[in-house]
Amino acid sequence: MIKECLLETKGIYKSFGPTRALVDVSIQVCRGEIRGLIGENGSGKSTLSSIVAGAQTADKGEMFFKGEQYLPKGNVDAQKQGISMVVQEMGTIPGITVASNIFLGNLNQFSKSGILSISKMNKAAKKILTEIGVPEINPSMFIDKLNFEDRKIVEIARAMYTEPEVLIIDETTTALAQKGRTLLYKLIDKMHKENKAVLFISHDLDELMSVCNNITVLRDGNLIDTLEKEDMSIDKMRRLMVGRELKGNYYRSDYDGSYGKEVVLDIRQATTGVNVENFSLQLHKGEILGIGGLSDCGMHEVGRVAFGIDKPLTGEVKLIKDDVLISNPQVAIRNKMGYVSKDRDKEALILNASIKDNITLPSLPILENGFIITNKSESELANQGVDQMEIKCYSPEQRCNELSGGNKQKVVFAKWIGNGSDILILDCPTRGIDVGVKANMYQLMYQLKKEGKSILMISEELPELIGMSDRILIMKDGLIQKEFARSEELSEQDIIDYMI
Amino acid sequence: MKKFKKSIALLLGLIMVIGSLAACSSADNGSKDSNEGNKGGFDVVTNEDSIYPAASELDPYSVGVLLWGYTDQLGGSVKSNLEYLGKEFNVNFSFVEALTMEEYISGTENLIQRGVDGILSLLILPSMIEKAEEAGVYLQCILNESTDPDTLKLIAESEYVTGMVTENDYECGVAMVDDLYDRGMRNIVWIAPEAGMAANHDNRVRGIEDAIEKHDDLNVLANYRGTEQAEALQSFAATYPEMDGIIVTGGAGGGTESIYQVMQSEGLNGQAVLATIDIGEGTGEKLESGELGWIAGGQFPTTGIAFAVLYNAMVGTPINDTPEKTIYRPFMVLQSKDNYDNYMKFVEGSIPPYTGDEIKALIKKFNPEASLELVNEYGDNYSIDDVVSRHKDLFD
Amino acid sequence: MDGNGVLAKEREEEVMIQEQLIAKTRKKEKLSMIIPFFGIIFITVFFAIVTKGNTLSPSNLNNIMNQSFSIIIVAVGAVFVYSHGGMDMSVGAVQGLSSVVVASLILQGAIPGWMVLPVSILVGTVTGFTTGAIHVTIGVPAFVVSLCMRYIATGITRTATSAKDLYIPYNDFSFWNKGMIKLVVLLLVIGIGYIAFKYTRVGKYLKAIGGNKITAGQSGINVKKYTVLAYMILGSTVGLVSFFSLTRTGVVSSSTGQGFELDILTAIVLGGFPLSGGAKSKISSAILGAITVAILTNGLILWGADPNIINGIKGVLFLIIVYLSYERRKGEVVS
Repeated sequence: MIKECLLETKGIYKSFGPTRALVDVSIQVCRGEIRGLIGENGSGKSTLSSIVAGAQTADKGEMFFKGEQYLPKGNVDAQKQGISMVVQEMGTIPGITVASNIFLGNLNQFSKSGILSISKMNKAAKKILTEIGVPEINPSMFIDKLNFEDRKIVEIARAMYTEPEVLIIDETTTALAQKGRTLLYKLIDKMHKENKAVLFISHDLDELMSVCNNITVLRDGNLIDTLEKEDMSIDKMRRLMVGRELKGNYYRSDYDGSYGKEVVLDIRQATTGVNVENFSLQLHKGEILGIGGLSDCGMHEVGRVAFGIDKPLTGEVKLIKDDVLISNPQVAIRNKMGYVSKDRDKEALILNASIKDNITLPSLPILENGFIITNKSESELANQGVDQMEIKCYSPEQRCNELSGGNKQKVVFAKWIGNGSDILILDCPTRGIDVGVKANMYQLMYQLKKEGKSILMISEELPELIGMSDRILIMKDGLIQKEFARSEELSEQDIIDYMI
Repeated sequence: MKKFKKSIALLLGLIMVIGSLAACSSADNGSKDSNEGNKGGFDVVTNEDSIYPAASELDPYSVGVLLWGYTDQLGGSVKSNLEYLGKEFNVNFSFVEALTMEEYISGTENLIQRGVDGILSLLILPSMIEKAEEAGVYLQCILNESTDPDTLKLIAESEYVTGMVTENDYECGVAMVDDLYDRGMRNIVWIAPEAGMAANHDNRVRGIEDAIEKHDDLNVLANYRGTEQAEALQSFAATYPEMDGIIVTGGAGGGTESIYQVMQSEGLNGQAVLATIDIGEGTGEKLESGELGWIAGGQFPTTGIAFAVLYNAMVGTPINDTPEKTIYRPFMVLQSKDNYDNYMKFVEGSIPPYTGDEIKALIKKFNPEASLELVNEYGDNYSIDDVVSRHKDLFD
Repeated sequence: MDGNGVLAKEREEEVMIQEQLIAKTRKKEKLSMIIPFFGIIFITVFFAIVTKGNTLSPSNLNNIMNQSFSIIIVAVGAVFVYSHGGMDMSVGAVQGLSSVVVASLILQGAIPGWMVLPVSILVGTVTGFTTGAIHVTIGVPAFVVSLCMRYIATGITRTATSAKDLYIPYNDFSFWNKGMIKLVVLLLVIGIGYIAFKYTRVGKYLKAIGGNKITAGQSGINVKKYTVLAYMILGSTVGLVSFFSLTRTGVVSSSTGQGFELDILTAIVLGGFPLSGGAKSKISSAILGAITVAILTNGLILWGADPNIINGIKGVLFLIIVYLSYERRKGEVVS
């Protein structure tokens, strides 16, 4: 087959304030090609795809489409020219019908002398929905009636009705279950057969391996490499994304599993209104205690109770050393406890505040000199956190909402480490962060353990529970089902049976 | 985008400049030539035979005015009347809005800073007197009076407070009751704003209450004090079918308009007669239909009289040596459509109720006969018939 | 890749570009520090020109100080409430209430002269505490609670002044109405407010609450306690101001304090203070806004603008001030 170039970018540059999102990126996508695009958060892959889709403009560089110079004036223009995109975040507009969502911004074709023909529009919508394989979605229905997945499918329909020659899919599959995925893979296959092209962005490396012909890796805005099908391997991709060798000891390498005798945190017969019944656990000095289970098994609530955010109806949470009952987060923090919420953006961080403000927040009483907290003392603490956690930022004054997910999580950790916490309750500490940062977090946790601090790690990811914990408690319906000790032989399969 | 924003800023700047020019021209020259009612301003009557000096021969003065506002019926008329006198006297007026006490004091400070020679103000407060004395600026109270003994003492001692001229609200309250009584109404209700909201309404209520005391056979069915006046009247109408007289102390709280509406909707026409204050829209019609029996108004010319007292002091011929004693003037009362037509023509028409010459007659410098007694005489005579008889020649 | 030399050169270039970008952003940030002053500079110059310098004369500066005294002080107090995302609609009514209480006590000779100021502050603080406490204990929005508080306070003021306005013996308190005294009080309040907001737990916690209540709670902040404290601080400034306002006017009427909360709101918004609170809350914004409002009112009168179009001109000037002073930063996030 002769490879005819369909889309080309030449020397694309883009920066947001001090952050360089793309540096001299040139790619070529041929007809019939399914191109994967990978990189850590902040690597520039979404920026690149949105420039191609016309949603943003490059600072510098050229693009060519079907051999001609391509200068989209916006999303809609790009779509008219033949490049459509399905975006990562929710892109449907509530309060209007499915059909209106599909033809958003292109309603003119159904109107005659200013009057919109709803029936024509619905018919066209029905046609496209049937084509992509979801005839069951009714075009005249309000979009709000659909579930999350079906709404995403409507977005796919919106991208497809113009019969694009290049389809860009930005991390859409994370929102899709099996039905949607099958649908999408079928679509991709069809595009491939029709000699069109797909740009496919995903975190799921396995998925990319099976779907794509080629995979382009971006890191810090730079194009690192493009791998042909035969060169692809998960390890290689990871290495290219992170930029260094990730060694075998991604998790801790020892299988010692020992910890101090001393019990530091004691939860006794705690019952809450939701999900937790007569729950007891003991966390020891220098222990990483994992709690696993399905999302609604009650483990997240255990974390909240342990930190005093939720008060148990009966039972108690006690710090053994000083004989203190944890009744609210203030008491917990005063007694050197820290808590990383599973919902980073909503609970763990003040997004529009600076890195410094976030890091110093729980430590302000410590920084106080009389009543006064000086700028200097705050900056010292913040700088220390930024250095220790290797937070990528141009200054501690930078706002947190400008950071990538992994960097945000580093800020959250810096908050509690700066506070000198002895007991850390980590609820999904690596959720939504990249492998590179994950590895850092695991190293940090292990180091903390060695320093004699205690960690209660609540996680939905079995590999990290197995890889990091000294002990694992598996919960189901608010009760502990099983306790596992650290062991090399322990496998996910052993655990799953107790979860479901 | 940046260009767009810049051009918007430029446009705004332009609008502002135009706005400011308009502001200056209307404040300084007041070149208005329309004569649609009082709000369009009054015509200057050029009297060739005038025995008094023309504006061009007079030294210019600058006077500040502090009032609640200049867009309502009364405030608008006050402004037009003073602007008219400004042309007659070569006086430049600066009108400033003030609602709270703080705003009256700030307004005084700012007017003094602007360099005025005198101030006409609705309120007179101790610190205003203090500031006026420091700056040598004359201060005159209009449409209101102070009753606080300490303030009155300060006024009495001050060289710069020239007096207080206002309507007699108490007498007006008495007159309202008496009129309805004389018409044979025996079952009445009265409605007023909340106590403490406005001193003039409180005074009217005092007059109403005292007058009611006088008439043994007068039945007060109910009364209401508050802002929901129309609603109150509605429920009175439903509860007391025998109601034949209604007193409302004036336009506050939704205006007389809503009262008329309730009277219509509740079928009170022909059954009950209304007595109220503040002449406005619909007054003529209602007087003709008989729903409205008695209405008082025509307060704004009082500010012309007050100006005369102030002007006397500014030119060095003070006529009021007891500024702590309020100069009361009666309201103008209308009782028929005929009255109303005359009112529109002679009071709110193209010539104000007191012409420039009539006010100049109150200035001792121009007229040696001028005195406080003459001022009082003007007041005692003040009625619709008085204005008609004085001005009917001007309209031929 | 080619030889090491080329690589090193490329690296160097990279570093240089990055440094340039950072320098650019820093410059932008520095600029955004002075941008809020543009508006006030604009109107100051504007009025100085149109009044031929009259607005800048010493006596008028004294006027502006007198006229902005109340609004600056309460704006400083209001910063503590607005920074945590709260709102208080009872400011004017509470001023009326505390004036009534103080004036009645003076008239009855119930308290010695030196107690008048503390009592006035106390009344404001207690009402602030009540508003805050009701807000946090039963979870009704502060806007609603303060609106109720406003009705209650207004009701009391109206009742107390229904028979007649309450005049205090003006000369007994004229000492407090002196420019110097007020200037000292003003600077003291600004100084204390500035330090408390910027360099103590109180301000930092309130900003954190405004940024994210949940995060603040999970970071060990007693959200309820500090919320109530914010309303108490605002209340105390209102109490302070009502005393000084009383010494200035010498009288309490039902109109005392009327519309004051809106003046405060205007000042806050005009100064570029974020109504949602949070990290961008700056005490200087509120003070700048308050002075701007005073300069505007004063300048328009000195200029001699017709009262009927003053509001129109005010609107246009507001727009220009906001246009000049607002930091327009695009919330672009790299992904």
